[in-house]
Amino acid sequence: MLDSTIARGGPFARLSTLWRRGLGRNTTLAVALILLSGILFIAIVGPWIAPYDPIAIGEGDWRQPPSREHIMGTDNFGRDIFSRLVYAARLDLAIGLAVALLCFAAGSLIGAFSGYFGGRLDDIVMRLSDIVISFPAFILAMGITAMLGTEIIYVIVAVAVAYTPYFIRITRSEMLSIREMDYADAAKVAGNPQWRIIVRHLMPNSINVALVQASLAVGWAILDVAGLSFLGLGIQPPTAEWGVMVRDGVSGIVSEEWWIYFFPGAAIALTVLGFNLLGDGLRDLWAPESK
Amino acid sequence: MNLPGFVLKRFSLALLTLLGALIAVFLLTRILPGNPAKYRAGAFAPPETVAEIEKQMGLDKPLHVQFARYMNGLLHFDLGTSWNTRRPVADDLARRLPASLELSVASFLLATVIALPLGIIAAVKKGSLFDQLSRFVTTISASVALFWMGTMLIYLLYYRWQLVPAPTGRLDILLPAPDRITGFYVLDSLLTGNMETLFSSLKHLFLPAFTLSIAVMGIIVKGARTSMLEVLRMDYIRTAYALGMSRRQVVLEQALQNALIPVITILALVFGFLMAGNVVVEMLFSWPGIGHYAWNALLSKDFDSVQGFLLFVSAGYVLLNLLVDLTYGLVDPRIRLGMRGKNA
Amino acid sequence: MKKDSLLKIEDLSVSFADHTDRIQILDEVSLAISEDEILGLVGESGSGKTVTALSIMRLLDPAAKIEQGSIRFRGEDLLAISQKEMEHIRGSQISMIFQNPRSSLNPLKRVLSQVAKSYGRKKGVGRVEALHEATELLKSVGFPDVERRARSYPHQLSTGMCQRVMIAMMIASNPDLLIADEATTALDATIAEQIYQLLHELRQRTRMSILIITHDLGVVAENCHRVAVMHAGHIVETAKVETIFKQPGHPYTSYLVRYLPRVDRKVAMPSVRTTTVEEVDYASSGCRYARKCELAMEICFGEKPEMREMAPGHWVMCHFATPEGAPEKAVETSNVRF
Repeated sequence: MLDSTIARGGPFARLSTLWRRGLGRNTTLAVALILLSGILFIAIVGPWIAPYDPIAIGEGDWRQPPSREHIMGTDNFGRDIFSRLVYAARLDLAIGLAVALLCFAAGSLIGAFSGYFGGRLDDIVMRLSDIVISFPAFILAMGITAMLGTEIIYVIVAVAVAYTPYFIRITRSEMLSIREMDYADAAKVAGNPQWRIIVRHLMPNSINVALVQASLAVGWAILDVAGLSFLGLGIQPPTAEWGVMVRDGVSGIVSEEWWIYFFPGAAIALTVLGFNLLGDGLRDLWAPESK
Repeated sequence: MNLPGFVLKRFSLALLTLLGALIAVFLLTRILPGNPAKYRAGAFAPPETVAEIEKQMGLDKPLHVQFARYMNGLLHFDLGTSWNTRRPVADDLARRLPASLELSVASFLLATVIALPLGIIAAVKKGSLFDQLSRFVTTISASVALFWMGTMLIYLLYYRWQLVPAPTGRLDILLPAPDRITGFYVLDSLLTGNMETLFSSLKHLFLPAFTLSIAVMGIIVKGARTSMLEVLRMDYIRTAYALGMSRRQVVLEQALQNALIPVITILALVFGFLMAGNVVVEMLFSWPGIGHYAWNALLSKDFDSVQGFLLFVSAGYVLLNLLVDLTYGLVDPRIRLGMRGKNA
Repeated sequence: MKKDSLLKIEDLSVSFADHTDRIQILDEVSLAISEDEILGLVGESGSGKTVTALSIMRLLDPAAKIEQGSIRFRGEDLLAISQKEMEHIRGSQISMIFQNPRSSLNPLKRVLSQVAKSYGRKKGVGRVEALHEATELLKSVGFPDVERRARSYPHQLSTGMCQRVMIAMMIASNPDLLIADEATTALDATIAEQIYQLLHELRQRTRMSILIITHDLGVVAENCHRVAVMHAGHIVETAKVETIFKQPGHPYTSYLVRYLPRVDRKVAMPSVRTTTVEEVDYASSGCRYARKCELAMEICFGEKPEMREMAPGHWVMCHFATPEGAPEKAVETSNVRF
């Protein structure tokens, strides 16, 4: 359906080719892109569509079920959940992307150099990442934020540190196999300095795999940051953040007011689903045989 | 490489990693800016009080002295003293371990029993409706936050439908714990023939274990499916068909065994996930295990307890991975008996 | 050959799903194998040899679709019988050995028990007897030092040994037809020769027919009674071995024969001319060899040639084929040297 509407428009000819090449047959990727652009749109226009202030305490109407005034109800402090939700979208997306970017940049770079040079450097890098991996990622992030503090930047760093070794490993093994191929030699013969060979010639070839991983990592990061916040070890209230919002609804024992925790949790699920599908879709696009 | 060589190599690698983890935990809890003494003393405490507490915690000594103390303590299984409970951290952990283990093992079994066949069948029936459905469920389960899933399940199963008891620990509040043999309430009640505790503990165990298992089911389904698909593409599967075996025989007698070997690695990964998930689930269900203890320690910056917890988890994880590597070597003759020649 | 056909393939067409449409990977292939005969099926990789073999076994990839045709084995159409009946035929009446013998064996099981298992399954005997028979079978295929080495795992054996194990498994139930699909391609020349020697011995003992699939005309020359030449999903020529070499009827065959490796220089067909699937115009209504044929005329591109019998038992699919042999003599206008 979308296919034909796009194909007919002249200016969109390029888009339609792209569609026919991969997207049209790759439902996963299409669904992911639609889902994510919807969420991104909400995050961008959030402040304009949010009917209430996300932080200021509401007047009187606490713990109201969804109604015409508050389509997702209000929380313990009478704040409009929908407003908090769309503000939180910005924060959670930003954190997720920042973590993935950090892991991606640090991991690909370290992995690329480690894999290319091999030897002692490679040994050290691998042992170090073994050590980091010897902690389950979420537990390491918990430990780091507990020690560093719970400012947003620390939370980002904590989660990024926990996931970087996975990027190092992936890029490294890609690099090991690419290094043996002809074009590495060709670049060497042409007299390029080594860092240039790695960055300009080899890394672009290993980047697909890392990109798939990065898009999955956005999802993991959002889950982990929300989890940390839920435990009180991440973003702190009253900031509007999805994990914080779920926690708000679970004070003490689970209560009747399901809307307080249902909507933010669902927002996490949809967003993470989007990034998981994006990762799967990209993998199908680039390496269909691994399907 | 032969088997002793393989074992030796894995063993020394694990030791090296463990040593690195010890140092990492030490550094993490010393040189990071969140000063526990300051936290302990309170935000408005005078510097003298902070210094006093620092001295008490041994934080005033130079780093290498602190490290020597720390290592010396570890050699005697001394993980320090918890600020919260005023008891040795090692004791605290040991006392709470069975609760966490019972929960982890139960959810591990639940997840494996359900997810492993799902993954295998999905691979065998690749592209079928079943496969599509299991792929869909897998993706969803990887996208849902554990704490949210737990909250929703408690709301529905306990609050709405009254199918499970309140999320308040391992037993009905009025029941005494069974005599301690293994520390697993389910096992202990069974061993002492106490039916009332048995049912109560099973009822309390179900929902937290189920919640935790959902979090890892996706990983197992995906792993089993990928592994099985890979095996089904192998030449020896074609041979089996060429010998006239039916699909059922091929899958059960030839493919399954080969497909399960890589799954062992995935199961280790799953256990890592369970350790992290334990913290969330134990907090949600007031489960008196290590995760709950760690959560309290982390929130209150109970220095030694956090350190002890991190060490414990890391050691457990390294050990588990070592075990998996060794199992791998045992079940796969290609590792056990070594490769032959160049073209092996 | 006056003998009855053991296996008779008629008008077999198989298509594969490509990205956009279906490729006719086998196009109306007809082929017959008589009792006690060794037939060579020769052609480049991608020409459809293996697809033909897998069609006989009904082991085609699910992406492949049999469009039409029949495969009669002792008069019974293999394409029409049930899955269950086919399983009874596989491995007992028709067996097959493959190109990569080591990866064709289960890596987790000792070779002896793999052979025993295949024997036990077919004969329905107990474990002890099956193990005993398996030892005998391994001896009969020239597996050295059976008592000690039969308890090895595949990865501990050489490729040639693995192929002997494969053969032992596949002849456990005295099949009527053995398909050897590039069975020696992965082996050294000497080992390959030993394997064919073994197949000859086995055939003399059991009177089974053998279908040798290869891209190596040398193998055909030394081992087969009759040859079928395959190109791009067509069988373009079938004849006795001597005829093929002395009087090739199809331009493609004569091209192959010219490149026949000498005995002292055991190399396979020149790789320069191996055709990839993309190169062949599967949609063409004419002869699929026309694009590369030095003798191609207008008719070759427009009209598919018929299979015609040049001499008794010598069938050629070329517009210009004559009973005298290769068409170069028949085409007056051709002054192309080739």
